[in-house]
Amino acid sequence: MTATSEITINIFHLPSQVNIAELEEKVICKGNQRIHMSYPDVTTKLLDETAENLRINQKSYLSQLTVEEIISIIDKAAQKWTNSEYELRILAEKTLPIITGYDALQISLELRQFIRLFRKKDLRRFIQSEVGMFGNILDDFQPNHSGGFSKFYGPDLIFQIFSGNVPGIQIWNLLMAAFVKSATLGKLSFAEAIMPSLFVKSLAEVDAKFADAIAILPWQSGTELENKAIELADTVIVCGGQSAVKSIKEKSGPTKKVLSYGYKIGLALIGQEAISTDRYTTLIKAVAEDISIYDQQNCLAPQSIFIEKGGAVTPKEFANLLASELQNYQIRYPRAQLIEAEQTSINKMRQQADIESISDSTTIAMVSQKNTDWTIIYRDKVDFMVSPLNRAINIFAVNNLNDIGQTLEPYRPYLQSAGIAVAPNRLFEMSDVLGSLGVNRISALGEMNHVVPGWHHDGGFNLLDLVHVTDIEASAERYSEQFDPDIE
Amino acid sequence: MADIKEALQQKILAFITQTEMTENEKNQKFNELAMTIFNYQFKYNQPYREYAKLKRKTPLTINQWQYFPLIPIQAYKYLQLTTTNPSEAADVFLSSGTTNPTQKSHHYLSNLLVWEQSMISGFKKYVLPNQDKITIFALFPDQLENPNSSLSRYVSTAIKNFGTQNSHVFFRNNQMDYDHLITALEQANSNNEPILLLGASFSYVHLLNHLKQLHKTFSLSNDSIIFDTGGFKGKSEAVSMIDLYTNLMTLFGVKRQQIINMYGMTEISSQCYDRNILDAYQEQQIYYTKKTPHWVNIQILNPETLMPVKIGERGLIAYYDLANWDSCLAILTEDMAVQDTTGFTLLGRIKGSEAKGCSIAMDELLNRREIK
Repeated sequence: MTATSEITINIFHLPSQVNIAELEEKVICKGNQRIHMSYPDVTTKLLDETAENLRINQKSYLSQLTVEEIISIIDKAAQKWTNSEYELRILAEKTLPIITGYDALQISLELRQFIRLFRKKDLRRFIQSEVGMFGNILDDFQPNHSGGFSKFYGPDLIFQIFSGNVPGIQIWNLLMAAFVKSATLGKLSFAEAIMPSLFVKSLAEVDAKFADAIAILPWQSGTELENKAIELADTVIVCGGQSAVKSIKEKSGPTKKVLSYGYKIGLALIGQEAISTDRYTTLIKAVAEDISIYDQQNCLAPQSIFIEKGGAVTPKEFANLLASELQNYQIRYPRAQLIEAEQTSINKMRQQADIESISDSTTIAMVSQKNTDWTIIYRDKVDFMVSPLNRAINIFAVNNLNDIGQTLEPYRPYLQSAGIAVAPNRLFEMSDVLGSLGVNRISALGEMNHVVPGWHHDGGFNLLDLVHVTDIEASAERYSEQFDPDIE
Repeated sequence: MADIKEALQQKILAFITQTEMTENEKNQKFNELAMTIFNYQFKYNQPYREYAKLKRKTPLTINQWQYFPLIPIQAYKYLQLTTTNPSEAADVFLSSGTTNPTQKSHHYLSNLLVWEQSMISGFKKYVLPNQDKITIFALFPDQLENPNSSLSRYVSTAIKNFGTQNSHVFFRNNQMDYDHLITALEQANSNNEPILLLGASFSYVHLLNHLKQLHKTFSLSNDSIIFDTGGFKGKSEAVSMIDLYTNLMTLFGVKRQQIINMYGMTEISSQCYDRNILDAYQEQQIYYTKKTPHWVNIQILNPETLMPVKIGERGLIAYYDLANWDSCLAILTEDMAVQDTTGFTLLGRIKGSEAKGCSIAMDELLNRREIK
């Protein structure tokens, strides 16, 4: 018998001025491993005190930093994570598989890739593509095209409600706030509070005063604490499902700025030209990866795949080969264990397909045997369906990819990422069709879960949406010249 | 075909009414009859045959009821799962379609011989072992009011076969007649006449609220029975079964062992009951788990693997009902349960699947009326 391994980990961060007397604990066990997650009992009093200090720290330090300095701090923290010996990375790699249920090796591979988005060169590219002028317009008034000067200001304090579906995804939003020099008061989900907590700890190691403008705390949703946090903040960012977003918007009232990132649906398109004898095996591996990484919990992952007829293998053969690949993937990177409701959703998807196949034999359920590990529902028609996630995918065989536009129309508000495998001459044509339907990100297959620096999350300008602009008009500038005491 | 059909029903009726059997004898006969019925359904129930073939299971490849292809209960919404021509069916039971009124389960029955015998035999054994007739006060509409509801048919069959002439249905014209019910209860109380209250679980929630407002309590005669069915199907925020039963005991002055819950569905033809009344009658230790009548079997399946779980583990109920000869014998329900050596306990509808059932339809009906 091996001894029980016990790990204690703080799943919060507070400005150094805020003292906590006692911590509460949530224990997660898997096999002989026990993780004690510690966090303070969040009260409205604690939120008050935290917000007050965040505002002071934002004003006295964060707002005084230049964007280049901020990038530098984040880069140093991210560089730490590129070292496999870094103690916080080791801690993350030990605890995340237990907390989230995702495969350990998969988490490790994904984190390595993800953390590299926060290196200096990648952040500079992001800032440049988002606001231009290398971000200087966030530091000082810069000449604008109408003859005057402009400067961008972020809110002093942002209340952020993070999601918990994918490890580390919260860091992105956290850093968006930092770039516009806003302090963040963040509500973490208990489902994944580890990665943001550890990354903020790294930031504190690099620059404690910088991290003093960040507070992240976990608490159960739906209490008066949300109302309090909304009241304390200038701007609210909420990630979550429709009902969560709606509730926060209602609580925030008509005057407070609320930005939301909701649940989204991804899809994949494969042109017949991509299914050539020499390429289809690589293609199938890429699709399996898009379906399997983080078990489709990422909003970026595909839920339906459209396969054009006329390639070297038929769409049905493609589906069969994908089934084998998903099985292989399951052996290498097993899917997370599911709760009853998730198992049920997958079983229902399979049953629905079985029932359908009795009246329409072209519908075929290809499924893992005696478990819900992976599911493919193949249909020989143009349609679109959402997936219950957790490696369950709909495949539609179509005569021509151009036919799918109308089918997607009703899903417009939910469409986000499209993975696409077509020849260059079709890429722009297809992208235009997808773009006009609300799809806001088009990637290669196999890359659907990996965003690039500078991507426009949900098709918006993540920094520009946060700031307000102050313009010094040319008249004011000229006018001021009149009052120069040194010039007659 | 008519002869085969007739002979099959006779066999089933004989098995249902046969009471003296050893465990081995019962198991053997159950399996024999189940195989006969599966053959019959494979032959005459076209969509079920297609489904069985899809699952690679035919009468040639299996010889045990445990391996029958389980039709998912939601299939009754989309397929005509019957061995008879639907246009010639004597009856069709429709589910309440709580979540989607346009998608109701359809259970066609070519006649009600077996259905009624199953109801009568089960009811007699588990609900009324010690008496032949009882005054039944129904809180749920009967067949006249609600011709396509299996529970309404159940109410009418209960009154016809087990009700005294004082029996009455207190749900008429879409509403509960509380005034007459209270008068009838008071009268039974003063005559010390045992009664059986029969309703959906939610009927009692509304009744209890009504009685509490009026500050009414009763002390029903000793042999009185409170019968409920349906549970709350996941809509249990407001009330749990324990609260409900505690309130029923206080307001009606009945013992816990006189309260019985029935488990039934539109899509099947036999019901299961709590065993407490039978246990008390047989002067055994009283358990509150459910027993299957001998012409029904269940298996509890792991929701991930859909394979049978060990005793004591929770899972989905697979329901094997010989009385469902006309449709599908083997059904995969969406109800969670746990089994022990004494029987099984319902744990509610599995989360993630839609809520349904007469019990909730009833509740919404009453709520709407109250809002008006």
